[in-house]
Amino acid sequence: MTITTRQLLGGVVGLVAAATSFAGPEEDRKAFQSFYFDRFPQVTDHADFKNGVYSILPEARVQWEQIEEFPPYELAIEEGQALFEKPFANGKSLADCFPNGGIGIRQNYPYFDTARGEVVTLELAINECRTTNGEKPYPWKKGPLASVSSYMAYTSRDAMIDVKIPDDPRALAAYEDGKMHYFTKRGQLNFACSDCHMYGSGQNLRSETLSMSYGHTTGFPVYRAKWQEMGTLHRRLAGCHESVRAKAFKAQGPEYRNLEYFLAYMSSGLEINGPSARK
Amino acid sequence: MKTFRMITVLSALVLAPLTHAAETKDSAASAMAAAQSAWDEAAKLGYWWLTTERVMKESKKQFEAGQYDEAKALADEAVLLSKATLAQAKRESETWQARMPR
Ligand code: HEC
Repeated sequence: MTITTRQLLGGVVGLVAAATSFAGPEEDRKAFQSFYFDRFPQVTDHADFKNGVYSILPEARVQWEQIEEFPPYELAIEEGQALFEKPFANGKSLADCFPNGGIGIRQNYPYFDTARGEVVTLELAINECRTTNGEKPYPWKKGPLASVSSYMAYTSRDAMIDVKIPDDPRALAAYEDGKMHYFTKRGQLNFACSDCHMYGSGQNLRSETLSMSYGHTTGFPVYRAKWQEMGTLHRRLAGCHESVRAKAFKAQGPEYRNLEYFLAYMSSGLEINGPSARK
Repeated sequence: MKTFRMITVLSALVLAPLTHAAETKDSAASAMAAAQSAWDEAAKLGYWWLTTERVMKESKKQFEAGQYDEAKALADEAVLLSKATLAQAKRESETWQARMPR
């Protein structure tokens, strides 16, 4: 049996069509990133998206860089390091719960824990380490947890976000749940994350310029001038939900963990530069 | 006979506001229960509005203060809000994928 060129071509076309009609996370990520590359051609170095909205606002960036010289989050890093190194009552410490003693690992979070069947964020892992060692958990959105997370991010600066979706249907489901959440309109004002942070990115909303979701997880935790203190990513997510008059979900509940999983996966390849400062 | 009639009239006069109060209390309570179940239905789908929660809290507050008409009006409003939330949940579950970049 001989195969004609035509049959061969037909087969190739069929394969290509099959591959493009299945949009897995990898295809999602490429489309997601290209969206921003096309929308902001002035950002020629794509790695610069790690700087959030400042990658598209040259003037605000100058101010921001000045702030970053004497960063308002410095105290949080120091406090975080002290808490990180302080032994628990049982003699163990946070370092004992993490790969590489917890240093330089922020880029691998959140990850899908196949044994547990759920997404584990860095903040969840920190608090679980405390409770399994007989210590009280920290509050989720600010304070000591934000400090420890800041310190751990700081030791991971310049490492590239490396969030994986393992070959496990539950991992894919968690990712899909986060994705669905990102694109669905919520709250009485009827806005999706994507309405503001994709299709509205670069535009002004009241006094703020809407940031891109490519790079949304690189800089957290952040010191926000409006808060006058540090906050975790989930604190920010709750704030965005409330701004569209949706009730926020619980910090570190499954909804926000899945959403973080999606966001972090979309930002794969960008460098961690947290903690950072925001307006 | 006359006295009996007078007692009936008098007691009707006295009791009417009481039964009215009992009625409005009941109808407020059932409006509030309807609001709660409409809320639960949307919340089960992961949709909830801050606005609705505030209206429901206010309704409870009015109820506790004995302001049953106000409590009922607010609970009715909350039902409408939760119906809108449910409609949003349904619409979004059918349309969100169109919002993805490709
Ligand atoms: C009505 C518009 C709006 C919606 C909808 C919205 N946000 Fe925001 N978000 C903002 C504004 C305004 C800011 C502050 C300016 C900025 O950084 O974009 C912000 C900030 C953020 C930040 C911090 C960025 C940084 O670098 O500090 C993150 C992360 C974020 N939003 C994620 C989300 C997610 C995820 C959703 C969906 C659950 C969402 N937002 C929904 C308006 C919105």
